Amino acid sequence: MKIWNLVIKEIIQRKLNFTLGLISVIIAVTALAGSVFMLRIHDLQTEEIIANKQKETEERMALLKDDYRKIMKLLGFNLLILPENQNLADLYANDYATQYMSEDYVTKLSNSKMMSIRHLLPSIEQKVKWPEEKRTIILIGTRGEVPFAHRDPKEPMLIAVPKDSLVMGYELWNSIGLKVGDTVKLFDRNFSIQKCNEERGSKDDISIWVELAQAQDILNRPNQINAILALKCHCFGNNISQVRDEIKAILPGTKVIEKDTKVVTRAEARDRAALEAQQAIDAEIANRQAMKEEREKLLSILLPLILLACAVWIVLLFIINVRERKSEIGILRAIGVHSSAILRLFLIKALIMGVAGGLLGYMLAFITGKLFYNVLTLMSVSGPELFFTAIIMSTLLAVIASWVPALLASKQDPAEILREE
Amino acid sequence: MLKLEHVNKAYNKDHHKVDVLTDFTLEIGKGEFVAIKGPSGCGKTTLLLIAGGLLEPDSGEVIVNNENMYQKSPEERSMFRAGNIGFVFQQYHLIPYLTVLENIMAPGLAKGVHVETDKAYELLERFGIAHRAKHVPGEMSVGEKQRVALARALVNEPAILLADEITGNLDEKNIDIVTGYLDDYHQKGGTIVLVTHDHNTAEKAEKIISL
Repeated sequence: MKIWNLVIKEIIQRKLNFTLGLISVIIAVTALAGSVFMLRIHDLQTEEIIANKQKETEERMALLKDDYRKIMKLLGFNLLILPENQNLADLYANDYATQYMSEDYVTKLSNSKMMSIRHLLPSIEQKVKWPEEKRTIILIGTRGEVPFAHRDPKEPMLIAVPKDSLVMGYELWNSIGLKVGDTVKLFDRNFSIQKCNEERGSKDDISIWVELAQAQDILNRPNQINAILALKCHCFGNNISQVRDEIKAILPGTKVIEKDTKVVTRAEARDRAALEAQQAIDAEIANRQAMKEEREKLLSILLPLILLACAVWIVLLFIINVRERKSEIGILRAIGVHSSAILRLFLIKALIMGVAGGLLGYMLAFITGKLFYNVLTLMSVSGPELFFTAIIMSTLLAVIASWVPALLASKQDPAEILREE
Repeated sequence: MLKLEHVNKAYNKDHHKVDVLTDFTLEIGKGEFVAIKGPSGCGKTTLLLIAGGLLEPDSGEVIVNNENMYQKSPEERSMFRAGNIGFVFQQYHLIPYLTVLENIMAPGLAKGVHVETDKAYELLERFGIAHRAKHVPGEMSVGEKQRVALARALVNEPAILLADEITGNLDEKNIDIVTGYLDDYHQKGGTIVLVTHDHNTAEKAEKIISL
């Protein structure tokens, strides 16, 4: 007769007591393993969500980048090169420059090896009284596009106004009743109307464009210009300041302002989109983390309570078991079985309860998990270390909980039991 | 064989000291069959438990086979009991979930004791309950239970058999059967201390001590 046989026989005899203890261990292990599964799966889901979001963002950003590259390619950005002493307040108030610089500047720039500027348009502008019509007009002299000396010629963005021709703003030709082909007198010179512009709702409607040299002559500003418009400038990303610095290095005594900030805005919008995407990812991470912390907090309260309740339940069941087995303990002591063997008798039972409860509890946690997650996900979070931890924990729970009742049983005075009986 | 010298034992009952054994001295030689007789509550069972090393007296000495029982550690006492003393009680104290055979082999749980299955069967045959070997105590009559308890007590061939009111629950037929086995054991040289309040049972003994 071995002590194990006795334990197994007793378990079979008092099935209810053992089953209730076993259920208690199963609940504890299911709660523990289930919680670990849940937290680990939460981490996996978080990783998956973040990875998907990052991938999605990267794809969207790549598309956005491509779009902006295309936009940049098509539009570029526009710069206005002005004399350094040009007051910008005046410029914005009048909508044209009031200071002058040498026309040689445009030649100098066109001879430079600067690659980021595609089109150069020198001009002279001045508000004048049109003596013949007694109207205030803005006279603009332009020579058209200045080609870059070291590059292949490109299709010009603007066609130059031929000599003795002019282009007239809407308000002027419309109010005077002029049309293309008519000849008008301007500062005692005859000009043929080459083009009548459509209404633009800006100062252009009271502007007249003539050939640059003729405008310089009318305004008595030989070889002088107000501004150079640099169109469709290229740059990488939105680094316009680099282009500015390059121009200022070639043309000292000038200032460079952006004529149109649309592209910059778009580039900034793209950066902002990237930033917002990253912020959304960060927010998702924070949200998931907060959710996990909340669950951990809840479990940190719930799990010890479950474990405690299970332990108390096991203690009670073992106390009942000890009471039921009083006579048995008495006779075993009387036939020479030592108190340490009585202790072992109960602890082996607790050990069996712990191991069996651990196994069944882990299985139950897995089966329950299958209701919410797929098997592969569950398997990825239920490694052998968790399994063995569950078994060790359940065994410890049962053995520790049964320790005091087992100790009480082993310390029972056999004489007292046998006398009572 | 068994010597109790100036043994005193008292219990505390409702904060009062109740003397059960006072300066009690007894000597039983090897192979003797002694009956201890007396009314209920006179300390018969206490005497048996003290003699069996289960209840330490307040004072006095208990010598079994020339060894002072209560100078041993509890573990040594358990081992000594397992090898030298057999107990039988009125209430049998059979383990309810073990079969008859397993109950008889239960002393094998004690340290240093090994019980052969053949020997257990041999005892069952001798006690006329071999056909009950696979039955549990719940399926047996009181007489059969007492025979199983007796068989368990004797399976280790102890030097002394301490029997406490073993015929108390039995009818006359079973009393005869059980006392017959006691006689048998005694004839083979066994020492018996039988505690009983029944005069007829006490008559079977060589010596009767009244408490």
